[in-house]
Amino acid sequence: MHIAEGIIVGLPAILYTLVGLTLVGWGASHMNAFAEALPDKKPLFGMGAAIIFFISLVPIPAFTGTTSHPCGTPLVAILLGPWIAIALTGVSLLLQAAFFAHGGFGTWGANVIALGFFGCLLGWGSFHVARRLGAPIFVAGCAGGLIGDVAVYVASGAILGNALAHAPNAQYSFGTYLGVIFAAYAPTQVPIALAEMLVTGFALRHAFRQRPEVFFELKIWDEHATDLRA
Amino acid sequence: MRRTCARSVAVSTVALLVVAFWGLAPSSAQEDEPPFAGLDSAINESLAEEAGVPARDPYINTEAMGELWNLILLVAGGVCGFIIGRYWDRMFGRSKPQGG
Repeated sequence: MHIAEGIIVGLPAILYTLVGLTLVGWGASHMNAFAEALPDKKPLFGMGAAIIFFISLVPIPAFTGTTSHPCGTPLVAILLGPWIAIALTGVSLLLQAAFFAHGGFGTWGANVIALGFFGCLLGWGSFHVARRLGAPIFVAGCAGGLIGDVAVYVASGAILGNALAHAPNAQYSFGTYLGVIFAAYAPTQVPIALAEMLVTGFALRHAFRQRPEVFFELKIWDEHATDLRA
Repeated sequence: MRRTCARSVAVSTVALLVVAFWGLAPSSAQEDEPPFAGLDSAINESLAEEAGVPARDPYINTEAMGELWNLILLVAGGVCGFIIGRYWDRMFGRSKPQGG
């Protein structure tokens, strides 16, 4: 999902960067509020950033002989809230661009929008919709992991398709680029999205069984639902 | 019963993915990419190159740093590991004492 340095340049790169900075700034203000309300939980920021940094960088081999990355942002968004997770995504992507040749400074904003905004908001939203429908925590976590992962790659493909459709030697229209990109992504990314679905579900269920009080304190899960829904 | 069923589905899914991965990976890898190339380079960067906006080398090219990069990575890992170990209880809480 990392769009490499040099693929988005000029005015679009500036606009994406401004949007990315706004999202990360908004997330940072939520981090301040979180830290004031729950000062003993501040180290969770480090843990969340490490989860996103590691999971979104680790290359997982898939069917096609290529590798791709899971996202990690849906899990962190469910644990800490979507806006805080977006801010942590911004920091992780900056480090990845600086030291791991993944993404880039010019494409940082575009990657924040795909991995952060869409992965966090749709992952977190799907988890809470499933929860309100009465799903157990494992199922709700699976919904968040799957939809968050798919959303990241749909957004990333759309941003890339838009950039390529307006490139000097564009080969296709925007719609055709979308088809080409998604057809190429699917064989590799669908199995990884399924794996992220299961990992998110199992991770949330295990964490909830080990430390349910943290889930109540962070308002991830309602206290009255513990006995029936775990 | 539901838990056993969910576990069976999960184990079957993982087993299916592993079998399919080992069975299909060598035959369908793209010829012009090294085995298990990243999706970013295999798709994003090749399409971008065709479109006339090739990806450029990163500003900090860690692949050209040789052993220095290993040193930085190991030191950073060690420092982060120490910090996580030192403040483990602040992230996950202390375990409750067992028994009396």
